[in-house]
Amino acid sequence: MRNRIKELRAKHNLTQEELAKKVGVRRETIVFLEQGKYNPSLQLAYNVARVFKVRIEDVFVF
Amino acid sequence: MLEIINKRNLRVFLMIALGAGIALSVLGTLALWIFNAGVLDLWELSVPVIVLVLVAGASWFLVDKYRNFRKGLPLEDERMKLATQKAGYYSFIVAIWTAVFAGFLEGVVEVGQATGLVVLVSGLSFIGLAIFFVKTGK
Repeated sequence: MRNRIKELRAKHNLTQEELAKKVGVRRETIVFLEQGKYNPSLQLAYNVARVFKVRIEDVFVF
Repeated sequence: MLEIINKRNLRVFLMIALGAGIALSVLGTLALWIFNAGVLDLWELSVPVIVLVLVAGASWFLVDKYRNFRKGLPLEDERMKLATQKAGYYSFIVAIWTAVFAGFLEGVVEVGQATGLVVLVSGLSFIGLAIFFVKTGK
């Protein structure tokens, strides 16, 4: 599953650590999410989309 | 250091401190045992090596948790839980097969040694697999 987290994070001027704090996960999880090595739960996907104020399907491309 | 310890995360800090204390106690006991054991044969030498590997693995988790604690990040999240659950599942299978293998060693090893073998092999595989899954993001 591809995603636009890195792009949206740069757009919102957020570091991986800041995004991790906002969604309540460890920084490594954001790293693996961006690399496409980890598929998030629906809850985490929703939290990430909410931080960027977009829909889940705008962040994660199925 | 003290400013990041509040009522909410005091329990977490105590858990990390307790873990570090246990690791140091194990290493201290091991050192005392080695210094008082005299001449060790190959079988006896494997014991401190296995204990050191187990302590090193557990310490890796402690240091990792402490780093996240200092940054104000959660110590555990859904990926970490999945990784440790997966490692637990695989090490359970390893434990079963080790027990089956130990059954074939009847007469060669005693029951206590066979039990120790199962516990150590499953413990080592759990720590190794957990670190692997956490580090590779699977």
